[in-house]
Amino acid sequence: MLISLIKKECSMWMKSIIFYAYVIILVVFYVSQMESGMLISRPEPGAADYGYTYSDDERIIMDSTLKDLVIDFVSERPFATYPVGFYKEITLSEEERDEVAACIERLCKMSREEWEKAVDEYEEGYSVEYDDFGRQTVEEKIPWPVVTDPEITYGEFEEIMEEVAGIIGRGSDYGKERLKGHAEVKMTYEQALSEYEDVLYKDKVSGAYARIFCDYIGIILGLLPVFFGTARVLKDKRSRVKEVVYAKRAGSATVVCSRYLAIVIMILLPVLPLSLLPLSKAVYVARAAGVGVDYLAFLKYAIGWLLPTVLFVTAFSYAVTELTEGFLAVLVGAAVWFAAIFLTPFGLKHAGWNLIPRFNSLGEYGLFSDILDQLIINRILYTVFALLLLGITLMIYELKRKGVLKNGKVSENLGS
Amino acid sequence: METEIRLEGVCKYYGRKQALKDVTMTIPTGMFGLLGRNGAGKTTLMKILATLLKADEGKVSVCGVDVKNSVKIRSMTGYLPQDFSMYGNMGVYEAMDYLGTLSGMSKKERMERIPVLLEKVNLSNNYRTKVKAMSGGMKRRLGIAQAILNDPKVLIVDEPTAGLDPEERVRFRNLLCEIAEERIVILSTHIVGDVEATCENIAILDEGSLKFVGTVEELLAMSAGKIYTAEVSRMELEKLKKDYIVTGMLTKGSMVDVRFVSEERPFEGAKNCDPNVEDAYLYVMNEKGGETICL
Amino acid sequence: MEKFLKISAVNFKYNLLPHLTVSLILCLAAPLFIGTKNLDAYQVAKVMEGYVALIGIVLLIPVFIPDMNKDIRDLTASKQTPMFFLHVIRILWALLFLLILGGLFLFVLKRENCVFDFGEMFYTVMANALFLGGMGMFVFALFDQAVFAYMIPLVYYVINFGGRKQLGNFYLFSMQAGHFSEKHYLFFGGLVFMAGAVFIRKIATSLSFSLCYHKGGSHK
Repeated sequence: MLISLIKKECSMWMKSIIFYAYVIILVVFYVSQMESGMLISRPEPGAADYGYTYSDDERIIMDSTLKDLVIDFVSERPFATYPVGFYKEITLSEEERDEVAACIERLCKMSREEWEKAVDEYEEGYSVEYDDFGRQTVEEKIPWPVVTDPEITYGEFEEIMEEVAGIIGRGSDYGKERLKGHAEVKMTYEQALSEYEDVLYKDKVSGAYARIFCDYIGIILGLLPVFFGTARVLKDKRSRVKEVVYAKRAGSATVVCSRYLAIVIMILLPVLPLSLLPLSKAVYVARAAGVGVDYLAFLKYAIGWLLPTVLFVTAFSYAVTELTEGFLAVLVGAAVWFAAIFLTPFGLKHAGWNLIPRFNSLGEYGLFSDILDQLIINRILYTVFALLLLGITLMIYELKRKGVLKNGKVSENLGS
Repeated sequence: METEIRLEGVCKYYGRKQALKDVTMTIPTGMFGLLGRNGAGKTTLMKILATLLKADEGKVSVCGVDVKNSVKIRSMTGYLPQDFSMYGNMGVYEAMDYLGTLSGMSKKERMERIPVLLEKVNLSNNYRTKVKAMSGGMKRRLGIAQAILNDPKVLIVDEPTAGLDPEERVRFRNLLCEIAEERIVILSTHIVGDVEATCENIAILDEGSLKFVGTVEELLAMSAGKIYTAEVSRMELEKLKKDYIVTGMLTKGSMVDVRFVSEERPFEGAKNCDPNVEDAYLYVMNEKGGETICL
Repeated sequence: MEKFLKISAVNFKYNLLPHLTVSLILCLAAPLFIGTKNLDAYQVAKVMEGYVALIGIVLLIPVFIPDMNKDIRDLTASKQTPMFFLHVIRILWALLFLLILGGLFLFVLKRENCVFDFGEMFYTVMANALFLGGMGMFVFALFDQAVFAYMIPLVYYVINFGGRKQLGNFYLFSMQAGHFSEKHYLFFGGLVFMAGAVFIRKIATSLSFSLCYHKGGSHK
């Protein structure tokens, strides 16, 4: 009965404008964000730029952190913090700025006037140019002048930075656990080559493309299933078929799961053919390099990476709408998406606990394998959440069906 | 195997309001009419039978199965709610197919049963008609077809004829009678005519209490000898209305032919006559306040 | 006048109130994750364009929600007061609260030591809110599908984070780069959307015809 119901649900979606709008949005989004460029090529020796990586060298961490702090300070931009895992900008008062300036003085053993003047001079001789691919060429007339004093140990440095983080506020970028993130250094030819070879042999090329595909498509899949879940529940209400369905033999689990799975299927249905586009690129790159391609990489990544997002968002909107029978889920879903995209720490190459894990990079297999464990835990967690929410939905549906739960007051107000 | 529905001491509360008060009765095979004013508790009672509501007190069993076993009950019953509707952009056949699937029917069963039933309810030329384009009567017929799709032992129909034109209404009643030949059909209505024409057994609900359970003959017998007709002037009519329950009248010029209820012969010129179901219904509703009459 | 008050009161109680509550929560929750102190004009623009303007969607789309039930819609349409009048009243109230909430938010930002041009920023947030909300209303009127009506402006909003390339003058976040002139396009675009929506509804009621309802399906 379940399979047959899923088929019927899917065919209902095939008649829905929401589904077609979703397909169009998906394709347009993919084309506008991903289609240009994006070919991986072998690094040539002697090139000016091979991209960036993070350093483990304590001295480099100290100097680059200080550099970031000074730049943040003189730019007078607000400081970024993540108090509860969500991004919040903090603009300091004059007194607080003075305190931070004092910390900088202690790190570089220069007076505030001295280092501010040094930074001004540096900036005068500094220029940046961007080429067509968005790559930047930096020109510095003098090297960065504000560095940590050689006598400062890493331990002292950490203490002072904790103090800075304390002034700026909870979850600052200058907290102990985030210091390494400042130590971005240019890659050498050897590092670049090894990364390239990882893509060829470990990723089998398609893996690298699948990751960036999931990164982009995840953005859309973190939001759009909300509309499916909400629309499906409200359709029953609007068409006044609730009671007819309630009175049928089909168990609540069958009804709820068939609808839920049908949405998940319909969401993934256009994603898989769309992935053939980047796959064809991967095949092209692999042929040129003479290596084999993992043709199933996209399928694996889609299931492992995107599916949990879809499962969660669908279950969430389904549960909220089943409970409230209004549009609340749409608004809350949009808020969750907003938080997942803009308010999570660590930039664009991190899984963390984010509903929408980001990996905005083509390649970087090494970095990816570093975060892979966290990504797996993250994905399992959201899948478990999704199943819990589905369970809750089931209970709500069953209670409504037995007439125990009256279709909420909230609902009458927040929707039709 | 039992083939009747039993209710024992059924109570249902909505907050402080009591919608059903200690309802006890047995519903046998055939057409069963549930009569009562709007808001008497008919829909509540039917929803309890269809497992869409839980009784707060009392026991209900359908053909020997307790209604708490909702899965089993739902496979035995067909339910047509008061305002049946379906997804607007679904075609007739598609809607039947969908609801049949929800009833757990196999594809083969659905392919056999659906055309037969659509033929029965006179919708066989409308397989592709969208639900949103259907008239009230057509929708109701689709509703009845979906309710008997899984060949239920019990069919529960809430206010089936409300909003139908006279022709549709007669056709619909006949359809229900046909269906009732080998199963229990419970229909609720506040239109006495529906019951009179079709039901052997009836129950009358008033403000949640059962006022009468029995056959139509028994109901008629109760009011036998208590229905009178008289020709009175319009002036006299006003007084008559105050003193007696008037069940019908026909204006003839300045005079009025009145039908009314009276325990004994009220005045000279009043003629005793045979009661019809409407007379009996009004008699029960007004005379026998409080206690249930079970014959 | 009495008619106006009655319609307004009913709209407030049965339609606007929950949406107003959500808008209020949205504004009150802002300081939890967005800085609201000592901001410069660009940062204020970010808050107003990217966040506060979303209440336009929350407040304007519900203008058509009471008519979603076809019975209620037919009933209201059958009365002497034209639907058009009801819609305009509902829109006016939504706009009033939009003005109040947007104004109050900016007022609080001023108190929190933020530096910006009040009038310009007020116009900015109104323009964005009207455009997004108006877009939702237009989709609602056209397709008679509430969820779809929320989906389109939200997706449009999301697309804006991809940059201004294809969006031209209808780019939502221009003030974050200090460009004010786009706001006129958004403001009038929003008005056109809203007028279009009400007009579509007017035609739909007078013809008793809505794109979604009576498409397909043959009468016997």
